[in-house]
Order: sequence, then structure tokens, then C-alpha cells
Amino acid sequence: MTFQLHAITTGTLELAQASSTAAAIHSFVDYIHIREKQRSARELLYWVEAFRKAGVPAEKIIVNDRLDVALAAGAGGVQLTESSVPLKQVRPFLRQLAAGCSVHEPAAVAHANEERADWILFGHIYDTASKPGRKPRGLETLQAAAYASRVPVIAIGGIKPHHIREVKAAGAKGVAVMSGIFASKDPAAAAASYQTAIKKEEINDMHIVVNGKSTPISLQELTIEELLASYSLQGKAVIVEINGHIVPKERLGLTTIQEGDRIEIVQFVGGG
Amino acid sequence: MNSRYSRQELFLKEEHPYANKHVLLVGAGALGSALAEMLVRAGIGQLTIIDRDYVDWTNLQRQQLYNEQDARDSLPKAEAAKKRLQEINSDVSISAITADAGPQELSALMDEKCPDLLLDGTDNFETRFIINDLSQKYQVPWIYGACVGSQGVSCVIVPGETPCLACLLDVLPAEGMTCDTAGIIAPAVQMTTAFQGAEALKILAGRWEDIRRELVGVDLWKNTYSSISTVSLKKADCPSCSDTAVYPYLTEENQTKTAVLCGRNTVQVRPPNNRAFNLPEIAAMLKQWDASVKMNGFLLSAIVSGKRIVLFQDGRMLVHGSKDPEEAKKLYQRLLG
Repeated sequence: MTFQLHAITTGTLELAQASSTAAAIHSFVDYIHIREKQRSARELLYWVEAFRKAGVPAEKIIVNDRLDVALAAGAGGVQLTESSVPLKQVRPFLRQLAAGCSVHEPAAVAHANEERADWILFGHIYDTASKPGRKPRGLETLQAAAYASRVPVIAIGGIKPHHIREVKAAGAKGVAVMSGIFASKDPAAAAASYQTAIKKEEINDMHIVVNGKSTPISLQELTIEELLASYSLQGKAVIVEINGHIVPKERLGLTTIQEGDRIEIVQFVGGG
Repeated sequence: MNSRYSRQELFLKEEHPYANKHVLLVGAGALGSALAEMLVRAGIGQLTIIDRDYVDWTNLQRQQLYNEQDARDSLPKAEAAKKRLQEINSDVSISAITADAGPQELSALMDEKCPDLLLDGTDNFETRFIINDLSQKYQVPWIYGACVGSQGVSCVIVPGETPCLACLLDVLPAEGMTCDTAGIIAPAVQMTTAFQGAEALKILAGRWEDIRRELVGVDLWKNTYSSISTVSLKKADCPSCSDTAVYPYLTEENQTKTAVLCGRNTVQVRPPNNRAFNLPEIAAMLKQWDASVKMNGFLLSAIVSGKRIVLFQDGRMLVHGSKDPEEAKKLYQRLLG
């Protein structure tokens, strides 16, 4: 599953600007959360409808807290916080909606797992303007939360593109961003830069098995010849097998390596 | 259970199947020493060892049959090996031959000894390809083994069943890493010969279904293991093992008269025809050129033109401190005509 990117409205924008931003960013994100705590249910309904009209796919629209709005407006899901009706009690009415939970303590993660939430928003990880006066939870608590969770844990709170690597390393399966995207001067560029950072980490995820050892490779479209060169074996007397098939010498430069390939290389050395 | 081979018999579930088996071991260096000791302890009936070199101080780090006195005495390896091996098992009949393992010498040995198995204890591909051709011509299995650094490779070659070395390697590989340039650790030797030795014990006991059918490579430092099935690699038109085989490596043109020895910074020069040297006469002659001439019963060593040379009775000369075959040839001709 790819690393998720959630964008969350700030609660300070007017609908026209919010919906045009949503239209500009939706292709870069997995979900857009409408989190407008001051607005009425009817306003929230108009927001969902406006986003949809602006071209945002319905399944990407998540309504914070208001299950009734999500259902009536045909949104993709609901985000339940610690002030919302609990997921257990909401479940009979969800129909096709996705349901995310927001938690602030690693201990609450187990409960969200029991309730089979679709994701868990966990934070806040870094210094953020959203919750003035509160200390950031930090990567350690993120790691504790992610370790205990089968449900994907999405990190939130002051996350910038350069945080993606460490947040991922801590076990998060995605990030949620509020002012970093919706309050940005160029939200599309901002969303794109998060996506770029995510893709960069995905490339480092590519693993193949060489001679029984799991080996990360950082280049896509790598040929076997290039792999041999990385081991200083180019031009040497070797036999190469990929996924059980021997690669003829003339095809070494033409065969590209895929994620998960099992490669055996035996070099004919001559000493004794 | 007090019989010498009882532990082996328990494993094999068979009473000593090795007593009448004969192995021809080419090379008594790192690989050869380990293989020889393994098979002698296992109690094969006969072992013939051929090696062209003598024991050097730098061998002691990994060539398990030799000791410091052997190095001081500059004993030929085949002789030193036999001496040690007989101490280990006096029941094994051991022939030690100090000579170059060229096509004529090896063919003669094949005719004379009719071995059940050929073992690779060599350090160069030229000799391996000769062994490979002989294996096909005489229909005797052989086991390729090679090591350098922390890695080793091995493969069993059974005429008529598996691909041969020429199927696997269509050209003689260019000089690659040698023990001289890349070094070697003793465990790499032990690991390679463990693979070769196990296959030897299977073949000699007739356990054909248990033979490994893969080319295996292990790196003990990088902690990798690779094995590739060679079943699909037999070439229908192979010049060494097909129906139209011509055994190209047994012909005279393919033999070089000089060879650079692996790990020794040394060139060997062979005479164009068989020569037998009278070492004492040559020693006397050389003493005019240089005072540090030494002799044991098998060879003579001296320093000529700043290079240490060693002369064997069969006319071969080793030139130490040189990797230049032309220079070595010239020196040979200058000294011996």
C-alpha cells in the first residue's frame, strides 16, 4: 500500500477558495478532510457538494465528525474524533463510508484497532500552530502508536515534506497536513512537494534478493548488467539467474530488474 | 564400534565403499591440501597427487598439509603432501608427482592409473580446461573448485550427464583476481573443499542421485550463498563434450610454455621437449654466477640477475619476483640453452 497523503481544511477559508484549492490539489492527495468545526451541518453539506462540483472525486472527501452530512452528501468517509459518536455505535449506519479515528495517545490505538477503523490520525508530532500551548508528541510516541497498530497510522501535526522519511521510519503509513497545504500560497505546489517526498522514499523501498540477501536498490529500470557493474562484475565470467531462469550473456544488458526479483550470481573465480 | 571408518559407515549405511577407489588430484596447494587430507582420512584406496610447485612460507597460512620445516627445505608440494598424508593414514597408497600437469603428463597418468575421479586443486583455468577435456575423453567425472578472497565456487561435472566446463564458460576467462592481488582467507579454502569433498564422497560411493546439480558460490565475508542449476546449459555443439568433440585443450598449440603462478608473483618456464637436468652439474655452473646456490634432493635454487630461480629435475624453472613470461623465457634460455 502506498504512503497516504491527507489534506485537511483550515477552518479559516471561505468556501470559494477552499473548493478551488481542493480542485487544484486532489490529484496529489489520497483524501481531503472537510474539518470546519464552526460551520453548521447544512453548510458542511454545501461544502461537500461544492467540492464534488469542482471535480474532487467523492471517495476522496472525508467529513470531520458529521456522519449525517457524509451520508447525505455522498462523501467518501467520516473522521471521528474523541468528541464524536464512537465508531462502534456509528458502524451500523456507515454503509459504504470509510471511517477514520483521531487519537492522541498510543493507548487509544488498540481500541481503534478493535473497532476496525480504516485509518488512525495520530498527533500532533511536530510544533504546529493548530494546537497552541500543547507540547508536540514526537516521533517516539508515533513509533509506540504505529508499533501497536494493524490499522494504518497517519501522522499529523506540523509535518513538512522533509519529515516524511523519519515519520515513515517510525512506522507511520501516511501523513495528514493542514496549513502546510490549505494555507499555502500555492497549495498545488505544496501538495506536489509532499508527494515528491513520498515517492522518493518509495524508491528506496525497492528490494530485490541477490544471492539470498535482501538488497535495496534505488534505481528503477536497472538492468542486470548495471547491477553487475555495481558489484564490479561487469565483463567478468559469471552466470546469472533471475527468478529461476538463467539469463543468456547477450541479454544481460536488456533484462531489467523488478521489485522482488530473486537473483543469483555466481562468479567463476580461478584461484586455488 | 572400533573400526576406523565406523562413523563414516554409519552415515553412509554402507561398509567402507572407498577402499578400492582411486582419485587423481591435480594440484596440492590450498584446495589440494584440504581435499587430499579429507579423502585420505576417508580411507580411499589410492591417491595420485601432481603438483609443479614447492612449499613456500606464504603457503602456511592456508595450505593445511605443510609446516615450517617443509618451507625451510623447499620441499616440492607433492612430496611434502605425501609425507604428511602417510602419517595420517598409512593404508592409503599415495603417488606424488612433481611435474607440470600438461596434456601429455595427465593423459599418461589417466592411462596408467585409471582413476575413478579427477579433483580440481588447481589455481588456473588453463589446467582446468585440460582436466575438463580429459574428463570427457576418458569419461571420468571431475569436480571444479576455485577460491579467492572470501569466496569460493564449485561444480560437479559428470560426462554424459551434466554440462562440462566449456559449456559453462565459452572462453577462457581473462586473468581475474588472484590470491596475489585479492588475497585469500583459509576458511574460503575449507568451504570450497567442503563442497568438493562431499561431492567426491558421493561419487566414489556411487550415490549418483545425491550429487549436487548446481553451480554453487559462497562468500563467507559478505554472507551470501548462491546456487544456479546448470541443467539447461549443456551445449549441443560443445567442442569438449558433444558428439563432435575435438578436445581442443589437449592439443599442443593450446599449451603455453610459460605460466604465471597464482598468488606467487612467479613465472614457470617449461622446456619445449622433455628434458632431464643434472642438477649438481647445473649447480656447479651457476656457482660461477652467484654464491647462494642451494640444493635438496628434488630441486635447486639460486639468485640470478636479482631474481630467485628454482630448477626442477624435469627441466622446469620457476622465476620468482616476476610476472613477465617473456623475461622469464629469456632468462631460461640464457641459463640453460
